[in-house]
Amino acid sequence: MCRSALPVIIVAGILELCPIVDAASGQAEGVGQPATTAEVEAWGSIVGPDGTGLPPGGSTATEGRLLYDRQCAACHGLTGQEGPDPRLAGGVGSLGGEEPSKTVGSYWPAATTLWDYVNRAMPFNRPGSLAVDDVYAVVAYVLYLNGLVGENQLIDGDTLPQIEMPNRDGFVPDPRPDLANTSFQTAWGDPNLQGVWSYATITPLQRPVHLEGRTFLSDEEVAAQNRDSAIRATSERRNGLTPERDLSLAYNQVWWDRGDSTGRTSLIVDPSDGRLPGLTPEGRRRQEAQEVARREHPYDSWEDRPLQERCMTYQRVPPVPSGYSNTYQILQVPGFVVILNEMIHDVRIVPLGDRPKVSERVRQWNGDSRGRWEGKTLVVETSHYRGQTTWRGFPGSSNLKAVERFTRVDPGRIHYRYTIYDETIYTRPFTVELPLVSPPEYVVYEYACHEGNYSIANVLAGARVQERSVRSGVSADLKD
Amino acid sequence: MPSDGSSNRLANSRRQFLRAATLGSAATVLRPTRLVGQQNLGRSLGDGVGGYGGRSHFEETVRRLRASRYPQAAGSLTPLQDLYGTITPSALHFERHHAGIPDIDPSEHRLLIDGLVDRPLVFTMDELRRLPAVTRVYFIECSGNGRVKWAPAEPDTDVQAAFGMTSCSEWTGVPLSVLLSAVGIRNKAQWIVAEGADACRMTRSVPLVKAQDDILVAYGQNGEALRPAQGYPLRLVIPGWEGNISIKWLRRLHVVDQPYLTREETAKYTDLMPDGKSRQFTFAMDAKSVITRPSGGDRLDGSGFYQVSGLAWSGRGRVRGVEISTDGGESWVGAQLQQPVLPFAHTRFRYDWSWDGSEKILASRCIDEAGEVQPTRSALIAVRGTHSSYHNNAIQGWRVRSTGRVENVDV
Repeated sequence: MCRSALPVIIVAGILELCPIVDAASGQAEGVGQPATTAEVEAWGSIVGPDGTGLPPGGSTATEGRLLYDRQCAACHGLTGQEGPDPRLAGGVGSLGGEEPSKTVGSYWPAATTLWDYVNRAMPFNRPGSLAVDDVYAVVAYVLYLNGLVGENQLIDGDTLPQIEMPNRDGFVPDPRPDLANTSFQTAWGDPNLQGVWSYATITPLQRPVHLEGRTFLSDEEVAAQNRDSAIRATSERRNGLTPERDLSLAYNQVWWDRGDSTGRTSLIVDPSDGRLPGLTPEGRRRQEAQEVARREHPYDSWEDRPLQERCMTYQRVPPVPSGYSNTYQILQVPGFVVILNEMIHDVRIVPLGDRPKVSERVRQWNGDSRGRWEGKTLVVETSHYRGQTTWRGFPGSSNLKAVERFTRVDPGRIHYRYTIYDETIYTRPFTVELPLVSPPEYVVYEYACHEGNYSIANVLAGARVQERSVRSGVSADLKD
Repeated sequence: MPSDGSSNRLANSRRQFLRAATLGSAATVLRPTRLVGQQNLGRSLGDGVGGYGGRSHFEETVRRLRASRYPQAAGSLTPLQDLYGTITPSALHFERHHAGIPDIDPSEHRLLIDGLVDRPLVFTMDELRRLPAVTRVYFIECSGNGRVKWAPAEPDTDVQAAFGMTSCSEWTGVPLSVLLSAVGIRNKAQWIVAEGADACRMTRSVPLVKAQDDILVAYGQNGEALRPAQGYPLRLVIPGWEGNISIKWLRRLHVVDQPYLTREETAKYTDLMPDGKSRQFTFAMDAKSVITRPSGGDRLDGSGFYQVSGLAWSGRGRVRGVEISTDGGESWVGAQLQQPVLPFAHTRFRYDWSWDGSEKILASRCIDEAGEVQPTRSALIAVRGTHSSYHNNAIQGWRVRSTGRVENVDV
């Protein structure tokens, strides 16, 4: 079994995650000239809110008045409030009202900003033309227009950073995203589940014994599991292998698509112990019979081979994640939802509404599905399975019923759970929760199941050869 | 003079004739005129090869200036309605300058990196071009892109006026992380004050975390040197963040321990909320999209097939999907995305549409890989009020009248 398309996009995606260059490589060493103190000074000052960068010097509003009237008032008005260009004064207390006025006094959080900006950018038509003391003088005057300093108060590198601006606490960090997302709808008004979705995860179906009593992993445990899984999937671990052994492993990281941990200790969320419920006496009988058949008659007929080997279906609907092809593509048209599973390209066409089920006598490997909307949740009930449909080595019965629930919770995620009812096999129902996410540029691959085309006949023919050899006393251990 | 006048009339009538004969300008009625055998039956030789190429003289789309008191502290708008694909031609990249475009001789330009560093360095342009370079496609959008002050839709506002302060280029330059490793960042360093060489020495504080991640110090734009209006010879390109912080004409990177509260990150480019508090350092541009064809000012030539096309982008990574509504936002259906979809880049979307001739309201909404869905104007106003001038990513509607006229409308 294998997928025939190289997952180029996944590989490209991995490359995209790499840092844009190896920043620590020191490649820039020796390029660029050491900056001298004189050069740094020549570049000019950059003033920080603690006064860093303010040059020696100082002045007062009184000294700044004439300068302001000549150089600034034409654009900002004699009192800093007339415009036409940005208002410099007034507006304190207006920010939460209907007509907020954002001025130096009402809005700017730091007085140092005013010095830095006047020094670098003002006057608009002759930026950089003011001497240091002139900048201090104009700054003092604008602060005076706002009532923040006295007429003759010296404004210099020490006093300027200490001025408490009225709106110094008026700024908050970026809280976005700050809007509830709009829900998805199809053109005809159904909730929109369409897209390509991955249910890949390394979280096991059943809770491992050593995690008994725990529902969730810690963040550290999740990180460790994901890291271990990533390492297992890489080719590096194969370095020590012989070529024969390496080949026999068949798949490398190009194929594996195992996903990450869900954070839970098991995919089974009910029963609360995270494990499959016990088998009924009939369930046990069927499982034993199945084991005997597999042991004693593994190659009698193609019907003795597993369903996935025959390219019939991988592991029944709904699925449990495996090493690759854990992918749904969901399509919708009015009245129907179509669910394509990448593995063996099983397609379920799910009619919505009251459409009656097929006859009791019609039995299918993956049953017969019907869907309905419960609010924004798609509920899919599947029954009419063949009794011979097995599931991860466990038997099934014709009484099997699966109920799946799909709820889109955000653009990239569907909340996905299903409950399995099979009172012939299990002592109670159980519920599985799978991740269902849509990473960017996630696509469905071609899936080519070659065993069904060619291998079954060869497998059976090989078994016949082996039987003849055994009868004739010639050793022919096919396992080698 | 009569001869001049007649030749002008001739040129104009020929131009009008050919414009009507092609599907060139979206603002004209899209009705082909039947031409038998096309023009130029007697063929003459065309122009020879040339130096720096120009566009066909039949192509006339240009940037449009935003109303402003001073041309040096103004903006110009990209004519999105006339563009194809995802790259904005350099000559049509929107502009926003605060003190005019400096005329810089690259042989005299220097970049100083100083402050909390082990080895302050000065780089010439030649030295910068010796360093490891990368090429990336990124949009730059002014955070003020959108209708001024949340005003209700005016029917005649077109896409250029409403959305023209976003453009997308292929940028080439040195990752800032390379330069930072060259100078050696000291422990207390948290921010970098970037300074431009324009007359106002524009400054913004940039978080060091972003600087070490994906910021470019760019000298190339769409295969050639930056245009003067885009920062020639050197600028920052900060993927996904509001355009103002991608400092043009870059002359200095001053590594510091805290944001320096420059005028552009306090008095401007902060977002006043209804409670009187202001959001600061609102860097990322939100998920956004707009239908550019058909769009405001177009007139559809009767019912039938029209491919709807537009641009989507997000400052939080890739566009995951774009949905189209033809009923003013009542229902939505997915559009096709032109591949490849790149992070922090304009993404072209298309949707095949058959117009039945009745009045419709077309709209698009972007869904980005962070899960953000482009909201309606009313949803934005409900949370943010109308006193902020930035980060308006509201869904844009175009009303298609039964006459075929396309008008700006809120959805």
